[in-house]
Amino acid sequence: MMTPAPTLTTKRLTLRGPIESDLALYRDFIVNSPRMASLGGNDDAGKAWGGFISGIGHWHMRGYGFFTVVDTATDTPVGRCGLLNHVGWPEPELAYHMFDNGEGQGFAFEAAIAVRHWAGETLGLGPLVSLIAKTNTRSMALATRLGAVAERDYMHGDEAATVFRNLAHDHADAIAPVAA
Amino acid sequence: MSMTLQTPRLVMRAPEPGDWMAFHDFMMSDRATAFDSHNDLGKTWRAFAAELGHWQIFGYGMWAVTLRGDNDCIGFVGPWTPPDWPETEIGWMMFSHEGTGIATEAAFAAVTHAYDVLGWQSAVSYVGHDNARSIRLAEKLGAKLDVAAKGPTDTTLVYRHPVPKGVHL
Repeated sequence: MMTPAPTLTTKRLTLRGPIESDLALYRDFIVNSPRMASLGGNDDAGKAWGGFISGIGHWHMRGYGFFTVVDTATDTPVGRCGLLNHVGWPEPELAYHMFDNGEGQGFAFEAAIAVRHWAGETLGLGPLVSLIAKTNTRSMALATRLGAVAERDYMHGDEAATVFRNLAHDHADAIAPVAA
Repeated sequence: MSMTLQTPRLVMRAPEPGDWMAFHDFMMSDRATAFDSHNDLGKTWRAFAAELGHWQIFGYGMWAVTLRGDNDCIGFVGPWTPPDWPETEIGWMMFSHEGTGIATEAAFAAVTHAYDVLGWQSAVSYVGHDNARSIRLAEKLGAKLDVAAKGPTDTTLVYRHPVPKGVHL
């Protein structure tokens, strides 16, 4: 049983389905990263494991999910980007979070463009939402850079969030991914 | 690749996305009060997705239990091995068919497979201290309460399964 994830490539990145060796960096992010504050808060190693394997199951349930974003030059996972649609989600979401080693290099931007394109071109999905906590200013800045616009307020569980509406992948302003 | 365990009454197979509603209905019901996901749709969805992910990562996981001749999932029984747990576990959750001995039949097959095919050196079941039905099942399987062993939480009972007869390690 393999994840039905394709491999997407951009200039610097390889986006592929999650594999077991991604767990250590993901767990470290969930357990230790201060940036989890605007993603529901840090959690323990057990919950990180549960999140990791349910992320794999998500691919089997939906046919899409979170890619592991890999820096092609170093073959190191630097974060996750993909389409999220857990039960309770209003619609499929373009979602992203970079691990601490993937910050500040434009990786999330580059990965999100590739996923947005894949979602539209291959799955016929879009324009996609991104659900962003009101405290997550960096994520809002990225959404804006991607051309997304704030659409409405939204309560994500007990967290106040904003629904951003992304560009359709074939919108004139949507940048196409630049292949390696 | 299709991997199954066969018992006199059962076919145990890897879980499939189509088992979702059976899992969902169980977790939302009063039969599931012992589980963390009970009556919580978000947790239930993630717990089900985790069952599929466990199989992909390890190549094994909890078996979807079906009656011969019927692909409907009536429970999940088998290996559950998060890296932060003290030992490798055989877990169980039966959605229906209580009192038929099916849980015992399924769990015994899963324990045997874990020792014989997966090569486990030991297998435990973690049971809530107040879960009388589950304690009974562990005892019926011949598992012995191991008071010295550590469980994932302080209130978890640890039942250790004997190596099934006829198994050669």
